[in-house]
Amino acid sequence: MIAEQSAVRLRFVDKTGLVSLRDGRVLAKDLPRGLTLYDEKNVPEAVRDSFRSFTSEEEGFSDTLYVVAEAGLQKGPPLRIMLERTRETFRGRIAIYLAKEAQAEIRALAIDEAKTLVDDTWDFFLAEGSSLVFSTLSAYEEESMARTRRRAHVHENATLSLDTGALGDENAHQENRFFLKGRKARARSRSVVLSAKRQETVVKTLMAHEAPATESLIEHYGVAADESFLAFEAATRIEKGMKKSSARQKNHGVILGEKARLDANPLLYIDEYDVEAAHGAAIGRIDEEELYYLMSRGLTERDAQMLIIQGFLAPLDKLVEETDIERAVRGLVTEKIGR
Amino acid sequence: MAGLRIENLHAEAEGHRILRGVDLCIDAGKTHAIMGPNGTGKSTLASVIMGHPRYKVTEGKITLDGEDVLAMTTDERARAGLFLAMQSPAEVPGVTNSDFIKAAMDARREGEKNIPLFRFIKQLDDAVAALKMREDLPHRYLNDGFSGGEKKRNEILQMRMLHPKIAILDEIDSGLDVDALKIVGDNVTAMKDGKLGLLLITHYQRLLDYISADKVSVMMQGRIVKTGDESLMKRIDTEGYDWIKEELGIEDERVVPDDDERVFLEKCATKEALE
Ligand SMILES: Nc1ncnc2c1ncn2[C@@H]1O[C@H](COP(=O)(O)OP(=O)(O)OP(=O)(O)O)[C@@H](O)[C@H]1O
Ligand SMILES: [Mg+2]
Repeated sequence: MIAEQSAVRLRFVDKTGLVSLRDGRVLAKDLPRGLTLYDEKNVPEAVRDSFRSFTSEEEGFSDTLYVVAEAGLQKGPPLRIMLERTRETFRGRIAIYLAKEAQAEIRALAIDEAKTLVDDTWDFFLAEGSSLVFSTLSAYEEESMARTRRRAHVHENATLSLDTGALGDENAHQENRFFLKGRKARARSRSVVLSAKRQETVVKTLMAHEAPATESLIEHYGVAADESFLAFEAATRIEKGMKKSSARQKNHGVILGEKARLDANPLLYIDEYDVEAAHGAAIGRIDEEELYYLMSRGLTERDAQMLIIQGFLAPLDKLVEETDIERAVRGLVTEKIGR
Repeated sequence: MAGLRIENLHAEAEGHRILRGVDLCIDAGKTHAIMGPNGTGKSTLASVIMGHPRYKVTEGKITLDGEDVLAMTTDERARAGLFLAMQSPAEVPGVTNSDFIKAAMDARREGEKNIPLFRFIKQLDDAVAALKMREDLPHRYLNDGFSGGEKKRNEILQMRMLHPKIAILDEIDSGLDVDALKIVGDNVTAMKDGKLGLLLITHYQRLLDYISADKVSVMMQGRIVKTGDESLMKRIDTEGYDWIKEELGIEDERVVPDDDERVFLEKCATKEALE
């Protein structure tokens, strides 16, 4: 529906560094230097072995992509991954390996053209001193179901920043798990979800501090409209001995309409004294005074609500830099909840 | 005559009767000042005129150029030409001042094209300069973290951009330093064009040093109890309100407490009776 109705379909305009995963095939153009891509058929045994250490044992994937960033790689233009789903069921595996001191940025877009059942597994491995900025936007059809599991191993002095935006009409279940495995490893996970109609979306994010002096941040932003249901679960675990670690969680949500539901469950399991931990939650309806103030200047109730929600979703601006995608996101916000 | 007419207006909030028969006219091209002790219903009157959702009108009429204001939603009232500079405007983090003002201006251009961006930026820059505000104002989030004085100036900035027919300024002078008061006062006076109707709610006569008023009224007990000219305000400024209360036989000028006290006394009485 989104693809047809909005003139602003999610697409990358800038095609440099574009990889597209379609019908089990990997199509790549102008890959950024220092990055190597493989699919199931051409992955060398040695690479496959190194991936085994952090990817799941599971098999039977319909589409596979392995990305390797070479040691010491300097940050260059982003790698863009386009996931196009043309079949009814899709089981993707995308595994990303950053060797020591590598720096990379990856942006992914996931869309479908018809009702699909998606089951994706993303694995990230960040070796010592590496850093990855990863963002992904998805927009599927109304009757689609998207299940996404992301798992990241972050080693000493490595930094992972992961942004996800779920903007489509699908029912979704996301599970993001981060393992901070070396001293001073850092991970930040930010998820933005727009849910409307009868959509059901669950986002679970786990941060496991398995080394001292590690840092984590979970941010969940959501808008639940109509009769939709949205749940955020944030769990942070700091084990004994992981001194000087710091953990933060933020859950922010706006509920529109009487029938929408938005739940947030923040959990912090801490078994160490010498740590910093904080969580904040702000979930609620649009403030009556704010709405009245904007309307008192002539904005209709709908326009006032949209402006407040756009403001609330300001973090999205950082998530998407390409102006056309930005526009697409704004278009989708208006289309989905501005009716 | 063109303007805002309020007749026998009664309104309540959370079970309290606050406005109890307000009669007031704000004529186009004229300035009307309202004074009154704290808690006598001045801000409530302003909110009711603008259609704040927390107040319920139980009796009376409000018309703007003959149109029924009470039948309009808040945004319709604004588009019809009403403007309220609020005593404490809301803070809206995430929404920039310029996005907000542009949206408000576009909302008024029903059926027409949106205001061209270039023209808008020019107008906003001029207004920011005229009010001597910080240059980063357009990009700051609406009232978020603004000082008291900055909020007041921001209200007047919006008024300048929106060209209302009737503007109600609720204690626009409070929280302003002397220089700011002059800037705000001069800006408002500059907007008087023979058509703008102004309602100034204030506690202090000094506001009239910058914005002259044609009429001055006093509000007590949720009603207008006395109307005169600027000399009425001067006398209140030096003598306070006691002489008016005496003259009118008013003991408690406030609106709400009498109800509350009665309930409270009744409770005590029953309690004593039980003992
Ligand atoms: N929404 C509300 N719910 C309950 N009581 C209210 C509400 N709004 C106003 N009141 C009460 O009505 C009375 C009048 O309030 P209002 O703010 O109109 O006074 P005011 O004349 O503007 O006072 P001030 O000079 O202090 O600004 C006060 O006692 C106030 O507490
Ligand atoms: Mg007041």
